[in-house]
Amino acid sequence: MLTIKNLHATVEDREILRGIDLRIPAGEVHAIMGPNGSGKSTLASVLAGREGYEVTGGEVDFLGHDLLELDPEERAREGLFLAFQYPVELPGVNNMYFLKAAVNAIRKHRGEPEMDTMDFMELVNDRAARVKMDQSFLKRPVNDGFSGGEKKRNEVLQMSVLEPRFAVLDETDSGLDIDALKVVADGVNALRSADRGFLVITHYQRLLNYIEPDYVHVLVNGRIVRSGGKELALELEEQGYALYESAA
Amino acid sequence: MTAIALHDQDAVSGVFERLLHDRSEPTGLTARRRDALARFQRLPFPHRRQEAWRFTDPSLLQELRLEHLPPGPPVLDAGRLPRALTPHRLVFVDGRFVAGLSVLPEQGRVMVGSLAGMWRDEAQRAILESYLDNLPGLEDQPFLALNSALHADGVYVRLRRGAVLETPLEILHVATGEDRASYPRHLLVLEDNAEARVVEHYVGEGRYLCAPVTEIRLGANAMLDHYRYQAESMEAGHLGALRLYLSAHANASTTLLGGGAKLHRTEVAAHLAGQGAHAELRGLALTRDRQLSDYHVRVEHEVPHCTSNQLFKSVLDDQSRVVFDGTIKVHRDAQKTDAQQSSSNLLLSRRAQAQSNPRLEIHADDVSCSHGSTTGFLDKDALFYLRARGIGEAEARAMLVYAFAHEIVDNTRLETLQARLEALLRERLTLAQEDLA
Repeated sequence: MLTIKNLHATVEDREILRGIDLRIPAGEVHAIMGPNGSGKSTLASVLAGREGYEVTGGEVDFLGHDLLELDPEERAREGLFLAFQYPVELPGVNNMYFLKAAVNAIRKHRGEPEMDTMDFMELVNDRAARVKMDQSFLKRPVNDGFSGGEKKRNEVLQMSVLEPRFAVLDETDSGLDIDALKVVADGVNALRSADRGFLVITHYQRLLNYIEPDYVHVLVNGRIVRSGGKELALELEEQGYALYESAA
Repeated sequence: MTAIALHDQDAVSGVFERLLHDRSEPTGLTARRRDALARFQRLPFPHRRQEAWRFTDPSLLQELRLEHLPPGPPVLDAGRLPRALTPHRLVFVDGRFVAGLSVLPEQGRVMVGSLAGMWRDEAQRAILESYLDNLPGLEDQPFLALNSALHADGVYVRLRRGAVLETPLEILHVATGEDRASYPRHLLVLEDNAEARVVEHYVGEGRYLCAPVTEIRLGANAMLDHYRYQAESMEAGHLGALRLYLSAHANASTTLLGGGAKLHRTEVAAHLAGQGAHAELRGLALTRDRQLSDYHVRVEHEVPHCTSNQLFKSVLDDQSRVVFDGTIKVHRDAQKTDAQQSSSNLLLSRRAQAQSNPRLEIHADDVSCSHGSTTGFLDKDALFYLRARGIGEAEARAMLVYAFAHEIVDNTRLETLQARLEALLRERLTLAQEDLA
């Protein structure tokens, strides 16, 4: 589904990703763990197409598309979703209106008719219940005045409504208490299916108790230095990254 | 018809004498006009060297050759009028009232009509004598003086104690171009506990000058929701003034909306003269091409316990320019004043320019006053966030611009006007999107 080959990227002329290789087939959940500054969030930003990240080498294939050639909105319409580490506040943009614009942009791309308001409301209310989000949040401006946990839940809500083919979760667990973490994990688990892939980026093993990954990769200094099964996460939790950092 | 330029004093005097000749008016009014003309001629003609005009180049005015109107009723086909915003509408063409195109509310405790007509009404004359050109503020504004000297007509609204204007009132002014100048003059007097919602609406075609003055006097506990929507021709000059006078516990909300005119300037003076009064002043300017839009606002807190709030926003495209100059003056006795001011500008083009000059003059020591001003481009992170959800760049930009302006648009408590503004925003955003392509 997503194949990354020898990906190099720089930010402000500093090389952050230094040759990433990663293959995530449909139906699998891969976790990337690593210390601060290892390039985790840069990888997420490059995949989503954020400005200011320059790809200097390598390629990314997403469902047969050269992902790096697509605009951010085209990537989203093809089914890529990024749950932001720091969701942006959009005062003045109503949450419901925003979700509807996103849903319809994606439907239009697929050649499907726009969703009518009744069906849309039903869908959103159902998904909001899934992430235990109060209906009043839907009427508020996107993330405006939301707490950290509410913002992350809103990311998961958007993901549940948009039903992407592939989702990148960029430290969605950071700063969440255990209850909020469970809600986020439940939202992700409800979407797990044979034709959907996930890349879960996290700093802490804790999240992986609730979202069980098929594979865990260790990212240090812009390279994947080790890959293994879910037990690797526990090992990292106990031993830390020091071993890898010195090796890298 | 004679072509005149406004800075030519002899020509202005000539126009003035002809105006007096064409109209037979009560001597009280003629005396006022003479005083005003003398004031206009005494005041220096606006120039960039004056502080008040530093950022707004009035030399643009000199491109306008201004024709004085011939006597006789104006002629306009009703089909050329924009759709009415409310069922009750007074229509003016080039400054003159057109009764045949107007629909007035039932008269009684509510009195609505043409200002010129009211001078002939003995019962109203005392009110005119007391309030017309007699409210404080903007004494040094030459275009207000010129309007006082040369106005043909306008709206007179008087609400007796406790009277409520049930249906909002639209004052529509249509300019027909051809380098004509018009000076609409409106007087709104709301006595104690009276309540009204009034929309001034300015449109036109071609090149002309429209210099409206509105004077508003609110009695104790009176409440006014007022809008001035200028959708002038892109070749026009619009130089407006607004004086607001608030008695105790009066509540005035005025919203200045603008998308038209090559040169637009509106000067506002609000005097909070009775304890517990509240003034809400909002503005939204949408500019493009080489338009210049300028809001000069002065709020005077004269007595304790008054509150005021200024919120001005501009969306600038192309090489347009916007000026906001806002003053809060708190007089020595006006303790417990709460006065806020905020202006923000959203630049859609690197060539657009915004200038904000907040001024606080505080002579009391127990007050809460603040001002804030921001100017910036669309937030890149916000744009990326929307695009990362599949929303196209053009639509994402439109959503963010709308989000910026919504505070003013959503507070427009007249649905028809709100819809008109939304349409204007959409039109402007479509234009901005074409620029991107």
